[in-house]
Formats: sequence, structure tokens, C-alpha cells
Amino acid sequence: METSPLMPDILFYIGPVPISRAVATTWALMAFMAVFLLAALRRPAHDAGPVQAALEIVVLAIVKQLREILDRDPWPFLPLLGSLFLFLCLANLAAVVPGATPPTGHIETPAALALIVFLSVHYFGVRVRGAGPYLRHYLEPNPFLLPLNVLSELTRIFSLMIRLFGNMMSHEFVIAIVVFLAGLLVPIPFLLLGILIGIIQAYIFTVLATVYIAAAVGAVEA
Amino acid sequence: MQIDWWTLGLQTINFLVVIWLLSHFLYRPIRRTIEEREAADQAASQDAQDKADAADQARQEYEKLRAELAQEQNEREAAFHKSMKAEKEKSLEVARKDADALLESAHEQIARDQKQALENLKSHVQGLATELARSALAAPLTAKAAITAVTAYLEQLPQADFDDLKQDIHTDGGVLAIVTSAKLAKPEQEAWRAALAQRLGEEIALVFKESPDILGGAELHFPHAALRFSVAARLDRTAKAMEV
Repeated sequence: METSPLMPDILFYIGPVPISRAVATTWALMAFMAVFLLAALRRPAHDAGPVQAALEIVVLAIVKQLREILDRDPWPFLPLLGSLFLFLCLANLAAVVPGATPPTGHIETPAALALIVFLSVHYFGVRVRGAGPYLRHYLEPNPFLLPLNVLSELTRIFSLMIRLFGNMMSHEFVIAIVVFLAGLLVPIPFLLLGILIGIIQAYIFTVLATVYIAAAVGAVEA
Repeated sequence: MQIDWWTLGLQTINFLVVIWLLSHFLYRPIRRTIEEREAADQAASQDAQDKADAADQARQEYEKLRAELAQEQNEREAAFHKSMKAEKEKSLEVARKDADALLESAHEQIARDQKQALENLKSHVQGLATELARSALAAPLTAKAAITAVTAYLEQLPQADFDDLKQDIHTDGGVLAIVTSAKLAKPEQEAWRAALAQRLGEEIALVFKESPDILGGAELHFPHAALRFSVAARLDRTAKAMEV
């Protein structure tokens, strides 16, 4: 009997801990990022080279986008939100590497990211506004809306997770079906479309997380 | 669908590591670089601003110094013009005084010369008057003296001139007029007739006339000539001699 493609693809075990393909791919991405950044930014210069200049452009573009949404200094939020975008870009684009599957195509990775975003929203909300004022906003505009507000917090995080997972998983299925039906070269346009979808999903996930955090810190209405 | 909680946990940890990784090796170096670059730019901008301020201050000091120099130049020019004007007025005053002194001296000299000339003229006139008087009064021209003078004149007159006189008196019934300053008495007239008849002939026609203008003596008026032995004739001759 064929196993479900939605099931975790366990590659090996470290003791009792099963190491899935998503985890292994994530480690590979982390290793790539570490090596690349160490090589590119070992000695950052004022007169930046092409790689450093490209990295500065990417970072400053993210900072600009965050500033527009948060309407405040974006640098405290950059480690979480910037890392979210860059990691999702790399993870989603892992589909173009032969033999690799994007970690976001399995529910555990979007769930982990959504969990971190969920916790970060409350962390930043309490940190910026204080515990009392932050928790009080769940009673607004009417205390009777408290259950709905709590449910809204959960569902929006759930939808964030499912959106990313559904898009990337469905794209994986489409590629697999096209390869199965049409051969080797026909899926290439779908792979190019996958690059676009991966970047768009990374952008959507990051922007939504930013909006949630902005709502928590009082910058925008959720 | 089944969730692998180990994978979920590992991916959560992995993402936290990614956050640390990117924060440590990407965001911090880039932010530090950007801040250092901005600080360098700001320092350069501040340095440029300082230099611009210094240049502006130098320019202001230059403008101030130039204004002071211009003011000093104006003041010096004004003082120079004032001194020149004073010097000019002083020179004019000196020249005016010199001119006044010269003019006064000239006036005095003219007055002295005029006075001297007047004195000289008076002396000359006095001398002339004296000479005229002397000549007029040198020999009293009485009737007898006049007859004697006329007779002596006719005697020493060249023959040609004497003939001309005779011809003049005898032509066309000529008349010889004896002019005296006062009316001659009868004896005096006869003395004249006798003296002239002896010299000019008996047939001449004599008339006696009076003319106070001749002042004394007598004058013989021929038709076309005259013999003047009067005081007025003496005075005329003396005056003509003085003119020379």
C-alpha cells in the first residue's frame, strides 16, 4: 500500500528522534545560509561589493516594507519577520533543486512558523503596550466579544498555516502529476511558476504576520 | 493527515536558529555597516558643513573688512577733500591778499604816479605859462614898436617875396588892413601910413580895423597874405614851438 504524500517522510533517526526530509532540508538551508553569510559578510566594507550590496538592498527593502506596515522603527521586528521571509523564500524555492522538496509542503513546518508567529504577536503586544492594555484589547469593543476575539486569534493563525501549506503542497502535487503524465521537460514552466508562487507565498505569510504584530502593538487595526 | 510532533518541534527550533543565524550574520553586520556609513556620511556632511560655515564666516569677515576698508577710504577721501578744500581756500585767501596788496600797491603807485604826473604837468604848465608870458611880454608891442618891427621885416624880406606882397596889394584894387587890438589914434594911423607908403608906395589903400583877439601889437592883412606882429601871433608861435 502506498503511503500518503502528506505523511512525514522520515529519513533517519537520531536516537528516538525521527529526522524527516523537511527537517533535513531545513538543516541544509541553514548550512547554506551560514556558509554564504560567513563568506559574504565576514568583513563588511563601507564600499560594498556586489554580494554585500545585494544583501543590503534585500535587507533595506524588507526594512522599508516593515516600516510602512508597522509605522515605527522596524529594526526590533526585523530578526523575526525578515528571517520569516528569507527562510520561506529559500524553503519554497527548494522545489527547484532536483530531489529536494520544500519543507513548507508538509504541515509541520508551516505549523511551526505559525506557532512562532502566534507567540511573537503576543510577545510584541505585551512588550510594547504592556500586559494590561494588551489583554484589555480582547474586551474591545465589547466584553461579550471576548470569545470571538480569541477565536479570531486562533483562526487567523490557522488560516496562515493552512494557506502556506495548501499552496506549497498543491504545487508539489501538480508537479508530481505533470511529471507522471507528461514526462521530464514539460514540468519546467510549472517549476518557474513554482518560483513565483514560492516568493508570493513567502511575501503573503510575512506581510500577514507583520500585520498581526502591527495590530498587537497598536499600529493598525487587525 | 498525521502531524509529526518531533518534526514540528525540530522545525520550531530550526526556525529559532535561523532567526539567530540571520540576526547574527546578516542583520547586525549590515545594520552596523549602514550605521557606520551613515555616521561617516554625517561626519563628512558635518565636516563639509563646518567648512562651509568656516568659509561663510571667512566671507563675512572679508565683507566686514572690505566694508571697513571702504569706510576708511571714504573717510580718508573726505578728509583729503576737506584738507584740499581748506588748502585751496587758504591759497585763494593768500592769493586774494597778495592780489589786494598788489592792487593796493598799484593803486598807490598809480596815485603817486598820477600825483607826480600832475605835479610834473603843473610844473610844465607853469613853465609853459611862464614861457608864454615871457614870449608875449618879451618886448612891448606898442604902435611905434609894431611899425618898427613891420618896417624892419619888410626891409629884410627877400625881394621876390616883397614883390609878391606888392603885387598882391596892387592887384584888383587890393586893400591892406591894419588890425590892432585897440582903436588907433589919428597920429598913430598917420605913422602907419607914412611907414608903409615909404616902403610899399603911396598908392596903397589902407584901412584900420580893431580886433581885441590879437591882444596887442598889429597885424597886416593883405588880400592873400598876412603879416602878424601881434601878441596872439607870438603866443601861437610859442605854443607851436612847445608842441615840438
